[in-house]
Amino acid sequence: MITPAATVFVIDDDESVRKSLKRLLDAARYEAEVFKSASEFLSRSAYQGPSCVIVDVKMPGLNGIDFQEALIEHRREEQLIFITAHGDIPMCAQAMKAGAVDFLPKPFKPKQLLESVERALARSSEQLLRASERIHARALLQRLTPREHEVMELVATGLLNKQVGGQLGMAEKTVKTHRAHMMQKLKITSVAELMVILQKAEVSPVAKPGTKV
Amino acid sequence: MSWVTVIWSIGAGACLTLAFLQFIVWWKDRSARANLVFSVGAIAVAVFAALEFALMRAVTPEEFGKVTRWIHVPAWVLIVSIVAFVRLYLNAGRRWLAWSIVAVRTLSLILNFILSPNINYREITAVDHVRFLGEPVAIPHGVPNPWMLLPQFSLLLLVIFVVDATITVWLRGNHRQALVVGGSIVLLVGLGSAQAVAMTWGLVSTPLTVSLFYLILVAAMAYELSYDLIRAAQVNRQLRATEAILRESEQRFRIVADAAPVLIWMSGVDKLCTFFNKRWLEFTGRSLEQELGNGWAEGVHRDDVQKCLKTYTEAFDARKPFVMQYRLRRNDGEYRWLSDHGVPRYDAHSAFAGYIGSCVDVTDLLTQQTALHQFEERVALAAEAAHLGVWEFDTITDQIWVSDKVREIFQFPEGDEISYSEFQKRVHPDDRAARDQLVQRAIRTHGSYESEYRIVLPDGNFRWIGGRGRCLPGGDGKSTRLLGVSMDITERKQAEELFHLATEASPSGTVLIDHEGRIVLVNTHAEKLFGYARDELVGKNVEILLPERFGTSLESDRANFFIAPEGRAMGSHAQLFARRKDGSEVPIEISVNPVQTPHGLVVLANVVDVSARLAAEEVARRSREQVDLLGRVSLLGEMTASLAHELNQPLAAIVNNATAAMQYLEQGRLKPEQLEDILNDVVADGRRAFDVMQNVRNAIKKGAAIRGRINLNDLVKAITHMVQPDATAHFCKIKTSLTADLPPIEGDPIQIQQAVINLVRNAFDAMRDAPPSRRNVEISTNYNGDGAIGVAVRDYGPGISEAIRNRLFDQFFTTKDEGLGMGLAIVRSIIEAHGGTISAENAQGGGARFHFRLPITKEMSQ
Repeated sequence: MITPAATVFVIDDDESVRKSLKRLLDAARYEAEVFKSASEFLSRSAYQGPSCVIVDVKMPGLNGIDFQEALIEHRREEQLIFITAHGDIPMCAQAMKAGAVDFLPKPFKPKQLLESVERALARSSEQLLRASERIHARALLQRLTPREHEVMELVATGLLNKQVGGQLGMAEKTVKTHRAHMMQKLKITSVAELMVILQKAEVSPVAKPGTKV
Repeated sequence: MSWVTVIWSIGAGACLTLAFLQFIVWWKDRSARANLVFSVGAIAVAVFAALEFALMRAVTPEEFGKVTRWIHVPAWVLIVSIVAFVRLYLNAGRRWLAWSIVAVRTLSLILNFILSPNINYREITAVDHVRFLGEPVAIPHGVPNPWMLLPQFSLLLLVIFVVDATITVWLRGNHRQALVVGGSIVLLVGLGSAQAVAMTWGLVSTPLTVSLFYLILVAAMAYELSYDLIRAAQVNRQLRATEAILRESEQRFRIVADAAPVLIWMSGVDKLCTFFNKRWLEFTGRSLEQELGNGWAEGVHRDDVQKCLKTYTEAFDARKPFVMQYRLRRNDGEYRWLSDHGVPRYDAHSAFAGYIGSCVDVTDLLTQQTALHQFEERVALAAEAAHLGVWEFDTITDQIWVSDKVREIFQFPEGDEISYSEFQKRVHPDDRAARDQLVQRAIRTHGSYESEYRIVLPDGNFRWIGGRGRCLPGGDGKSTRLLGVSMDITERKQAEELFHLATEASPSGTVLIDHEGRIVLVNTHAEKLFGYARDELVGKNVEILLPERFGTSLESDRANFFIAPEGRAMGSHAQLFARRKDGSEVPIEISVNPVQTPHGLVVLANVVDVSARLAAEEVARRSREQVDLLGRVSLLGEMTASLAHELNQPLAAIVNNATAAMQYLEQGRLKPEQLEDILNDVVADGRRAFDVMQNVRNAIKKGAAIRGRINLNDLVKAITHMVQPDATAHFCKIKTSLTADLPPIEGDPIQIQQAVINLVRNAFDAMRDAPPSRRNVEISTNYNGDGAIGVAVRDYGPGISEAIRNRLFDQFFTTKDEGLGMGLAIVRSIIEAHGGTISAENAQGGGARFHFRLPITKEMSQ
């Protein structure tokens, strides 16, 4: 799948800062887009490729922190880099806890900013990758029939076929059959691989009472 | 001597004697007219007898006729007197009959003298003599006169009259009298007239012996009259005896009456007074004669007379006893109040005889009573004014007399006394037993009691009552009566309760202290704060709650406070600490207020544990410090905050642009137009930054226009206090050496303050790496007399290196990692705006010394 190019978004109400940042990013060979306000950015649909957002904390209207909260609320996963003219320490702590990549007081050393951008983009890519893997894994899981699904769940908890049969009220042989099908569909050959898929799908195995996990 | 002579003489003589006797009776008692009439009649009979004798001795018919004619005269007198007698003596007989008899007899008498020879005879032919009683007596022969019937008719009338009278008397019940008088008259008159007629008509040959009959009649009447005389004498004798007895008893009465200590009087049936005893007379100083009748009333007081007489009269008429009070004038002129008690009295025959009474001088009693009454009134008024109800409890009758106020308070109905159990019903069940105990004990010990208790009123409301009672001494040491007062103290109790609730509910510790420093009251919060239980504190001196070092000033503080009590906060210059029971100390704030209580002035101290607040303040201060890079106090902080923002933007832009340009250059992508753009932007941002600084300077200058007189010593002291927490946080100590009597300078105290604080804080930062013992910041002020005051801040840090000394106050110069370098630049601006100068150098013994001079003149730089 072709992913769009990495883009850096800038949200700052100060024109000089906006302009200069675009220049800086451009010079560093990043794709950059600038916005006057957070709401302007939010009105645009989420960018598909790896991205990060450099956002000023103190802005009229929606400020940086609120912006962060809004993203979390909408389950948007943009990586944020906060810049501020004030150096609000508590705000910084709050922002970092909420998942920002970095918090830089103005004037910052451009090198620092670019490093953060790099980190943010990497994170973003990683995130995207994980997201696509998740989708992929889930799609695989979707292929399973309900019975195969049940079997898979119990196998994932480490039960033997016999035990699985006992739990589900099936004959061992039947279990084996389902299991084989399941493995086939998921294109795996071992339970370990199954775990990987489950992990990627971000689905946790359901532990039934009495089972050893 | 002939028998006729004898008999007729004796007869006449007897009549005359009797007449004489009865005449004397009448003479003595003119009202005895019957007696007079009798004597007249008796005389008439004597005359009649005499003439009858003459008749018997008559020789010739003419003589006989003449005598017979004249004999009618005494006969007339006799008849009339008989009539009169009957009427007077018997008090009976019809009047008209009486008068008709008299009329007829008078007529016959007149006729008698007209007719010849007389009314009896037409003619007397001869006078014969017969033997009568051994001697010859004359007897008439003749022709009887039919007119004789007329006198006989009168006699008949007389008989009828007498019979009628007799019947009347008989019916009256006086049988004896009727028979004797009436019977004898009728008989003898009848006999006499019968004999006269018989003789005259020649039926018998006897002389006229009518007088004999009449003689008997006289004798009978005389007996009758004598009978009365005898009886009268008897009665008189009895009367005298009774009188004697009466007089004797009267005497005795008089003795008793005179000896009595009371004033005694008596009156008769006519209401007039007949007697006053000696005491009365002594009292009034008047004589008996003056007092008798209604004379006593003269001594009665003018205002009482009417009522007095009225009461007496009314009672008298009703025959009822009476009691009245009036004033009677005493012999010394003073009017005394008497209580007069009079009763009707009756004689031996139980007939009403008048009144008897006694009087007592009650003046003193009345005065006492009035005084008592007045006193009672006064007490009632006082009680009323004080909203006190007065009551008296008699333990024997178990009744309580209550004043109207008590009725009002307790809502007892109007009417009689209240029984103790009724009273108890009003008392709240929870308080009943305790109160009753107090009362009973008071009764037993003849003492008094005080109690406060609740009552439940009929309408359901509760009231608090404060009651006091005292035993009244009774006879023989036992007390049976309690006298007391009750007062409605609901409001006070409610106020007390309210106060109690308020103090307990108070969110801070409350301690009440009396003028000697003793703790009177504490609330729960105070208990917790100081770690004591309530009873461990009450009564103790308040010193135990404070650390010893505060003890000395406390005494004088307290004394001062009580001299001029007013609410204020304590310990405004130094942090106060409380000493808990376990010895630990707690920072506190105290505010004191005077409270006037019935027991005197007390101090209400409000104690607040401020440790939490202080800690919070410290935290806030720290966080503020952390947050603000450039400054921490108002003006400068504000300024630098917006300053930071304003500067950071263009600066960031400049940095970004420049870096971008350099990047392009390295990559060989830099086009001239691009560069131009970038440089233009850089210039613009640079200007922007410059403008910001200019604004700051202007702002400072503007601030400098706020003038005030500043005493730099006070300022330094204030700063020292203000930054104390910071100093503690940096483990630094501040020392001041201030020159006394600094002249004041003019300027903006806030700005000067900021400047100094900045320097001090710099000093803290400089000594970050110095050993704690050396971390002293020394602030000093001096005045050389050259028109400027110097202030110096010295630290024991690394000092100032030569390289940076000249750039110290430059803008954007900082040695701090996070600093922007604005502090000192601003300090310089402030100082210079006040017309002063600032410089820095290394101090002897290590460290840096920043000092500035401020002129005391009014000249300021522009």
